[in-house]
Amino acid sequence: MSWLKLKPSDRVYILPTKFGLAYAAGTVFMILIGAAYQNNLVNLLGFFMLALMFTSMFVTNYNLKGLEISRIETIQGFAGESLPISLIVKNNSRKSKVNIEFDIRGLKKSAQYDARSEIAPASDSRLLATFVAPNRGRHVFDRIVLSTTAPFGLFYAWMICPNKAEAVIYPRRIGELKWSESHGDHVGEHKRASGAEDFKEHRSYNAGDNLRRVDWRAYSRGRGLLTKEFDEPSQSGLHFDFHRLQNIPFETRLEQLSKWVDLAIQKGQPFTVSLPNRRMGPDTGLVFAHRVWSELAVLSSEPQNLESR
Amino acid sequence: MALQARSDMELWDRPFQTLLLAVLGVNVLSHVMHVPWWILLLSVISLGWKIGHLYRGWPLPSKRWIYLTGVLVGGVVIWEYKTAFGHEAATPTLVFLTSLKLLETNRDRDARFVIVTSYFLLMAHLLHSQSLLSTFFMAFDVAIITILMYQLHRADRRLSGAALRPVVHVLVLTIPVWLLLFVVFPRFNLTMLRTSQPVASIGFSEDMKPGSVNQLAQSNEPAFRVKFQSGPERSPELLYWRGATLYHPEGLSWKPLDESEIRRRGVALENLMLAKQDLANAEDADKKVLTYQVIAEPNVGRTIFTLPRVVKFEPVGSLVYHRPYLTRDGQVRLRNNRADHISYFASSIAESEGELELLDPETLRLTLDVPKDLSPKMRELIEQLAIPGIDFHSSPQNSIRKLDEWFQINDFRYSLNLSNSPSRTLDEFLFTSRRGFCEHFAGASAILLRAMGHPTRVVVGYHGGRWNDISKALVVQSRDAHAWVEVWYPSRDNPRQGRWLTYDPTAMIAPLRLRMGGDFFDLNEEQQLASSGDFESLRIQRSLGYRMLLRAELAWDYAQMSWTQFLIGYDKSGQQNLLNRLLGGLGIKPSPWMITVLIAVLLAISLRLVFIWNSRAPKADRLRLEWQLLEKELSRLGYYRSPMDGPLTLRERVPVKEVSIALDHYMSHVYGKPSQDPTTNKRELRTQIRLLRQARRALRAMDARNTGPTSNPTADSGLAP
Repeated sequence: MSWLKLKPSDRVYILPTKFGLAYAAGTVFMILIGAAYQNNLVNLLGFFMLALMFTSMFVTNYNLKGLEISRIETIQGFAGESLPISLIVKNNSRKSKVNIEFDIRGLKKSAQYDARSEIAPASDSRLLATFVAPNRGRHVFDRIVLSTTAPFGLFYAWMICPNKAEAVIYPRRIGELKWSESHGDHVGEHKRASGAEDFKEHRSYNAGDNLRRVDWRAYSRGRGLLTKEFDEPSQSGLHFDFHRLQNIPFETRLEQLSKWVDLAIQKGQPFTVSLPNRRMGPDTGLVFAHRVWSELAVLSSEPQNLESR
Repeated sequence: MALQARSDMELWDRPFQTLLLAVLGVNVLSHVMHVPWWILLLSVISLGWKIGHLYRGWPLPSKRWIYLTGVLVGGVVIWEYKTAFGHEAATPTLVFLTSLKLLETNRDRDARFVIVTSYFLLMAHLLHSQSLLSTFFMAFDVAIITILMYQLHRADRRLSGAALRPVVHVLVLTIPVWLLLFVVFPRFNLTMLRTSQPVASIGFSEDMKPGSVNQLAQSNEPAFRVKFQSGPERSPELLYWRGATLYHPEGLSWKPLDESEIRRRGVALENLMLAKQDLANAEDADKKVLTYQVIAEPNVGRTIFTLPRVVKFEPVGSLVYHRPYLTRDGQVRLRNNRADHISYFASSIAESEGELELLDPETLRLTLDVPKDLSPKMRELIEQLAIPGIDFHSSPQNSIRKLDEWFQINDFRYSLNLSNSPSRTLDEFLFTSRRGFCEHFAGASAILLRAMGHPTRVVVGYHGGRWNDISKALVVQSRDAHAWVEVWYPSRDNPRQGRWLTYDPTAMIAPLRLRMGGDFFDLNEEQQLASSGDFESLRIQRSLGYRMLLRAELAWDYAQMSWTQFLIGYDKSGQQNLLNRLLGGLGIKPSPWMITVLIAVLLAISLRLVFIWNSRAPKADRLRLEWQLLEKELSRLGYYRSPMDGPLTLRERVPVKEVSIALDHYMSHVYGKPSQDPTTNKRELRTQIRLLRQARRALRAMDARNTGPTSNPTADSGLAP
């Protein structure tokens, strides 16, 4: 009976929720009262509650059956900031799935969006959640957990999916140093002609884009995540040098560089970055910035590495 | 008072909040009869406030005010009920606090709180009433609470038929599990956990005041129903359902003995039953012993209604936990108060049958006691009525006749005006108004008979009843409440022995009251006076519609009785009987625990199968599967299709009709334009799957035909390309 056997990846675990425990306690109380007053109608009510728990256990369990993660969108973000991750989930069963959430083991979730909407049979759906980004570096998460409490919130069922998710977490964007104060080379910076930036166009969101530039209004209209691009003022060249940030701890240096890159991007200025192992730029634009940040993310603090390169 | 503004979140959630309000409103209003009016008023106000908040934007009170009001009202309830425990005091508190809680509910957690309390409100309702209507209410309530629980987990909380389909699906799966659990889940007894003495729904009281019995006459709620099992037929007007025996007169009011006194004089039921067993089991029992089952509505107190001279009593179901016993005056009573439906079997013999009773000195003293403060007018009357030389050693027959005559000569009448305040004192009734209800006549007759030397006691209970020819049962309603007296008839041989026999003074004054029961009050004064003759002609002629309504009422009454009978009877022993009957034939001696475990396992397996069936691959994938199977079959037969070949090439190469048809259809399905109508698409898909399967079958059949058992499957197939 091969159809009765489940693949290991399909194994669903289930436990009652807090509400489920309260409900179970209520059920037990109901049955005890039924016995105390020898009242068969109260018994009938108690048994209904028991039966509802029984079936809802199955329904919750099967609300996960047939789900499969078909894609995980690339994950990049800054340490300590909000890290949006979206999954494309496919429903291979004949029943709609509702109230599906996901978790990534090792990451703290901050919010889940659209979990209450339905995933129709034989169709794909995107699940979006934000997490708190961990420390800088390249992380691999191989435990993605799909979970549900539908239909009544009495049980929590979960399923561990074997997919791997790779996350590159950039250093924090913090640091108080101004680049003009001798730490970064200042190559012919011009004051911007006008203070206000002019909106140019939308482009699709890339991880790491400044969240302030995301057009949330467009997102709420269902157009997906879009970043607003602005007319960039006249270019100037900047040089951010890792070696010149002396007397500061290693991690703080990276954070400062990360911050400068962010500022340069916001101002639309071309820049060059010197790292212990390589020199990048001069260049401008987000693609370049992401390359720099990715480098910063994986830069090792081993001293011999610094010396040798 | 600090007030909270309405949040946008809550407004967005208005459909859900409205549902929450509706569920709670239904549960609060189901307690209209069980909570004090001011609790109900406060609850309705707070529900109304919430409605105003949702639809008119009224600000809500701050949490501090809500908690303060809650504590205050809780305190008043505890003070009024003198306890915080037991469902009597808990119900009003719960009703109010839940309504109050709604004023601060705007989060999911609070909604869960309302869901759980709704179940408890429903339970409290069921403790008060176990009628058929309450059962329907429970089914409805459980459904809406479940919908609420489901809505809590949906993003779009608007209600529609399609949105509710999943919850209907779950409920449909739940119902069989529910009923099975009800049938097989082992019953146990925890009656010692009860904390309160429950309250009544019908108002039979054991003492008698002027007008108290007739107050009940205004209600046609059933008090109990009787199913006759065996024995001689008796017309309803001869049935006196004894409830309580009263000994102490106070003017026109009568009181029973103290509870402790009754108990001291009580007899263990079993002893008495044993003594009279032979009577009930005698050969001619069928002619003499009337056996009947009583199914009684919830009623406060310890009263059990039976016909006089009970010789056998068998409690059904939970009644045994109320611990019935037999009093010295032949009354079955309960040691514990009850407020639930009960049922019992009883057997009675005619009053004049059976062994003689002994009149002990204590009873003699009690039943001859006359108030000391009788008026001179009253004493004069007693002197006028008393027959010289007559005392408790002699038959009261002559005294009764004399009393009846006196009532008739002085134009005593049964009062029809139920709303008029009746005579309050004995003198006013006997010498001025001469109008009264049965309790006036019973009370006055008892005092006069005692004064004339005959031991007499007053009995309150019900008289007669209405025959329901659908349920074949007698329905005794509140309006059949009655009071009469029992007089001591000493035996000729031994004056210490004798019998208590019923004497109903109302029968003399207003015979129609007894023959017509509650319908008597529909008559006018003239008709009432026509005491003889054909009383059927006096009944008001009703229209066909009314008669149909009456039929429906009888049918409803039947359903009500059967349901109550089932609920009471299906206890531990009822369950065991059913299981024995169901499984006895198989030679299994079932224990309820074993069956519960067995059924739980079976249910788990069957539910698992249901869900596996539901979570099999969708149709679209089955088409692909079917197509792959066909390809496999073809390649087994040698028709290998390269990835470049389309179905068309295959169709040209395989000379099998079914395959061509299926491939044609497949091509038009896959490459054709899909229809806009989803049902057409579904049908199309089904046809396609069927055709592919037929093609595969045809190939296999042909293969089997062409290859004998010994031949090579592919070489001789005739199909080889």
